[in-house]
Amino acid sequence: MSAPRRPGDITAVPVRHPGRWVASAVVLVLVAMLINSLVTNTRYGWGTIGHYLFERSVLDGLALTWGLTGAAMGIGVAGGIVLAVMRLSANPLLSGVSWFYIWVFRGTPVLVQLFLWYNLSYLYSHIALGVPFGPEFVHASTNTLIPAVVAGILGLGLNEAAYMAEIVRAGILAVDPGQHEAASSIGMRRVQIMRHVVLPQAMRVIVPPTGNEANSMLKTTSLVSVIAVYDLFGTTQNFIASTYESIPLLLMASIWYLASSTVLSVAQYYVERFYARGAQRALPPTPLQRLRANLTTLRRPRIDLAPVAPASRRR
Amino acid sequence: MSGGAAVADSDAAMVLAEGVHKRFGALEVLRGIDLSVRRGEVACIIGPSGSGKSTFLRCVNHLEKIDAGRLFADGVLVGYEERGGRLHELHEREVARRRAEIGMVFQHFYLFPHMTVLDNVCSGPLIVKGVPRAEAEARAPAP
Repeated sequence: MSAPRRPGDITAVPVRHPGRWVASAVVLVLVAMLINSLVTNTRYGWGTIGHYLFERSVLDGLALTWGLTGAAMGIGVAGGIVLAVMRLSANPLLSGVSWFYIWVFRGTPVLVQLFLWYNLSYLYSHIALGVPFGPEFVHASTNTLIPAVVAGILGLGLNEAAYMAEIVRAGILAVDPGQHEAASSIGMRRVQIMRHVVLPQAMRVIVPPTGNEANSMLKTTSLVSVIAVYDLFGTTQNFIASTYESIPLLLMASIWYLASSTVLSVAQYYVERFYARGAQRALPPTPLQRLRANLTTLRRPRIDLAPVAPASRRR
Repeated sequence: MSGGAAVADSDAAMVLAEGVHKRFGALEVLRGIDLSVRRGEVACIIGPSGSGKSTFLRCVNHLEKIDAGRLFADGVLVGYEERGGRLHELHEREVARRRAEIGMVFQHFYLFPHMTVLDNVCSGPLIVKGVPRAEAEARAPAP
């Protein structure tokens, strides 16, 4: 018996999609109109935007916005983990306190909370270290201990902790309870189980919404301008007050917020990719790989990946 | 599952159950299990689904607390300590230490999916027993 001869490669005429061509034409015209107006409408004030974009105080404001975001998310993540573990505790006092905290901080506007932290000295004029109900060792005035920036960080961070707690709790609950049992059956203790088995797998569920929170926080920090903190938005408002160029300056701030959130998104993508280990056979392509695949063809790019295992594999 | 017979002397028994009872709410799953498995002996527990085979094995590893009776693994009471005529619950650390001496394979295997095969094999010695990584990895492949 002779081996069957290989037939010639198929060269077929691809299916045409006239609807897609029409839709593309319409979108193209709209995009052209938008670009035209951006260039010809002088009220956008691109010159003003360019003038203030790299202004010293604007860059300082931007740095403060990043600092506030980092500090508030730091408090939020650390506090969220503590609150989530408390909430899952068998001790009713611990889980009750955690529930109450989340209830209060999620149930009131963060803007109100910021004002409350800013005005904390009205309730407690002094803050002291000492024995509860006993003598005090050191004490300081609330206003020197909590200046406006600290009030902003506390307000944003403690509010964020309440939201992060629910995200972390969801992540922990998403890990198969069998993992916990398997780990305890080989003799791991509770802390080891959390650290080596549960949290690494919970991260896959925790990271995407946390990135979302960080991105949201970046813009929520603009609220601190109401308690006299000169972040990116506070600085922008200052310039608006003196120049009355509100739209160009607001656009200038928007450009910085957009750039910042883009940086955050890219960072988030790589963190997510790292924690996808074990969940997918092949890691998703990086943006660079995707871009390269997009540039080499005009058609819908084909990115060659090893097949992703079906969900049923894991049971 | 109800009690069988055949209780050997407790000194030689690797696993010894005496009148083990386990209840989930109103449902009594184990009703007085007496069982003795000697060192080197291979024992099969056979029964229909839901009859309590896994529950019994989980009790031996103290993944479930028994309600009545006594369970011994290698001559040591599982999960408790008898002092002054009273049973004391063991501290988590001690339970973990004893579990490290008992091997158990689960129905669903429960590999740790975020770790490599090597890390799965090494997780016991590495995390629980504190064996250095190089040594644990050297011992991991089958000879």
